[in-house]
Amino acid sequence: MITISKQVRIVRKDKASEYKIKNFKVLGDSGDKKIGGSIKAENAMLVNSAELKSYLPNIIGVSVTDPEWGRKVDNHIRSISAPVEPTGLELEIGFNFDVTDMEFRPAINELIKEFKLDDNEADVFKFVVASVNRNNWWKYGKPINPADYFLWRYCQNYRPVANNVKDADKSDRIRFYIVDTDDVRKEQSEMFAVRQEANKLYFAISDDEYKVKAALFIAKEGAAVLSAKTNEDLLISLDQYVQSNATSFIKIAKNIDKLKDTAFVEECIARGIFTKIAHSNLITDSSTGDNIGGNVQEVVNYLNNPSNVKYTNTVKGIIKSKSI
Amino acid sequence: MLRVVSTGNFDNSIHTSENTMVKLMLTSPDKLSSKLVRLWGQDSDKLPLTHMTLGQGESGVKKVNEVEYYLNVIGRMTFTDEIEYNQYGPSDKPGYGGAPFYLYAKTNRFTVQFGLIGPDGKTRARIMEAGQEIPGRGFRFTCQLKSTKSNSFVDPTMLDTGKTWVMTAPTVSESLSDGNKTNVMGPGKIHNQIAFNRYSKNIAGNLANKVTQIEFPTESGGTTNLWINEEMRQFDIQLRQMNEEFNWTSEYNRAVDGSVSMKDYRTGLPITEGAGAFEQVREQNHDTYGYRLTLDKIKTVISTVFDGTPDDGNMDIAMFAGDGMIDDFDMAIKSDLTSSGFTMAMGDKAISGEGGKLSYGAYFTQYRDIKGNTISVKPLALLNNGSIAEVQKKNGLIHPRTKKPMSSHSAIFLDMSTYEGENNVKMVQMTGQEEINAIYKGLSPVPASWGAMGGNNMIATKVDESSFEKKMSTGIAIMNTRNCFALDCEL
Repeated sequence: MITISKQVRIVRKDKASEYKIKNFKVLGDSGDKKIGGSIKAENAMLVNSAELKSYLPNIIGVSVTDPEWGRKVDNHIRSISAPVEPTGLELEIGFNFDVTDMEFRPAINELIKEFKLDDNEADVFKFVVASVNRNNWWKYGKPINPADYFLWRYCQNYRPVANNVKDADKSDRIRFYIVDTDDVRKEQSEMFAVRQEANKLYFAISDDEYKVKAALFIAKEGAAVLSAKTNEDLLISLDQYVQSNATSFIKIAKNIDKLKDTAFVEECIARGIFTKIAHSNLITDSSTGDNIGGNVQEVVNYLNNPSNVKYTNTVKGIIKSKSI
Repeated sequence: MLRVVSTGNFDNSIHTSENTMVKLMLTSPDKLSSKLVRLWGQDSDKLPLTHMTLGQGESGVKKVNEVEYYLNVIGRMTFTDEIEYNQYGPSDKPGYGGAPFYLYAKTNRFTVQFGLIGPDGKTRARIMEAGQEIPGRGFRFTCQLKSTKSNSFVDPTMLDTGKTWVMTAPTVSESLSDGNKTNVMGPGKIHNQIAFNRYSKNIAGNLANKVTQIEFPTESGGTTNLWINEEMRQFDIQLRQMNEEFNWTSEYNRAVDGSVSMKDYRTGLPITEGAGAFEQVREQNHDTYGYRLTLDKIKTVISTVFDGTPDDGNMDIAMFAGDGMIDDFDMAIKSDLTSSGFTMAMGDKAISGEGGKLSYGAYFTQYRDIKGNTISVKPLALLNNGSIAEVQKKNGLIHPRTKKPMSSHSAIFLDMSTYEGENNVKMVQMTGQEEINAIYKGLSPVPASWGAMGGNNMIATKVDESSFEKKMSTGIAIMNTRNCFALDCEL
């Protein structure tokens, strides 16, 4: 028998209401913390009758041949109420595979025939793990913890649970998300590589004061440029940005030569020559209130338009006088 | 068959005048009857929260002097604490053979000499030394297993961060024992705030004296042809219904730093809204169900609602619910009865009649637990026809089986008990701002009902208009939400 264990954790989204936050000392760990019923999730489970027959008897204690099977399955699925504690709800969604288990032998035989596999446990289940969607592993083995596996499958269609942290903020209705420990490890590895690349680019531009300032302006950290007293202040500000926005910085640093005009417009905004209207991308001339573009690129186009050369030179003159 | 001649028109101009009356077809020459046919039924049963608070007089109202208020509450004494840090690895054997082991708790709640039970409910230990604060690791307690087996030890995963242990009675030696301490729990505070609602009724010209061909019922039981009486009745019903819905559904809008981001554009002053009944309850106990409600789900709810209640069976919980939920509640119990073989007994109750006529229909509207506590079903119309329900209907958020809006399948279990003689659910109003009425008197004559308010309430304008101004402070306070529950149907 081969055991392939895997854990996922369902955690609460940090979505407490102002009322809850204000009263947390008294309300504490109460409220919106249950994985409950849902029409979509229930229906998604109930249509998979073959899947349910494979492991639900272990959970509800009723045989598939029992006349009460249908009613009890229906009742079990429609009565779900699983609390997610503050530390999360850990679920074991791994499987035990046994090539000699007669319950799964017909499906395994089909697999061997279709994909011309050697009839040995290691090869068959290596293939299952690599090529078969985990949602279909029940055809070839038994969940290590059927109740956990069932709840995980249910949550895949339960709208208040996002399938990963990236989707957690897609809707206010989402109250939980699933953390896959393998994904977390992969993401950490990817982030490490990104941070390494960002650090290399940081050192590559750090000797060029113009590029450091331009990067900060493009990153909308113009205030840091204006308040910097020394070159070291600029470098510290840029380093802080790099550490928390590595991906964005890589894009800026790689294109810094092409983004000179963008940096100029952002500097004008930072110095108050242009005004970016709150909650929009609209940019106006601060002294006249005239609209000069619907976004930064439009302002770049406006300034580069030969018919606006007089205006552009005036702005450049103001910037030059302020930069001295 | 009743033939509907007109379903009524809506006028949204600021002032009501003679022209408005023409627009509303109140001057139509032909009529089938002078009595008004109310297509949407009477309105008086749509205000349960108002009735159980304001309708109870002083016992249903709490007066406050500030927008923000708090309730002193005292929760259940707790003896549990969570693990903050684990110094042991997976292959370690903490406490093996009676050796001391370290438990790092979040707080210093645990006390020397007291016992401990681990997360598995079986592991028993004694706290041998008082907690010592270790920066970043919480409080370290030296403990010893109570087991007499020389090879027993604590499963190191039970000492993992987030695991909960509970404190039990202290045990000491027969003589020369030292004293310990007991914890005490201070009252906590539940914060909330009130909101202010403002409504105006504007009239112009001689509307106060205009008579229609339709007879409108009056409060005293008679009828009147004066249009202003009906218009004021609608005004009153509208604001009562809106306030009722507001008190159920409003959400607390003050940030943790005390600021309120919603401000009046004209004055810059904050517009406060408090946590309504739904928010207060959902933040305490909440669950969802799907295509249909099961008795198992109801029992889960009930076990939470009646958890920790006294044995006297006096608890009275009202399940305010939409029609969809009421139907689901009935179906859940009947389905369970049918599957348990009570078909005949149920049929006897559901079918009645005599003289060759049969009547079908009997519905479960109450649930009684083993202690005698009861849950009674109370219809809450706003879940079927309120603002949220209307929006859901128009946008297709309807239950696939009943075709009712999803809100109709919601229920809120409210603890209607009295605690120390105080109603558990109260309306909160600001002293002096409970309900202020005033007449903005212009050239336009004011109706007799407005004039009855007296000269002190008269204010003036040169324009041929008058208005009736109403400002109310309102909020809902649920003293104890622990026995309340919100249950929603999830698509």
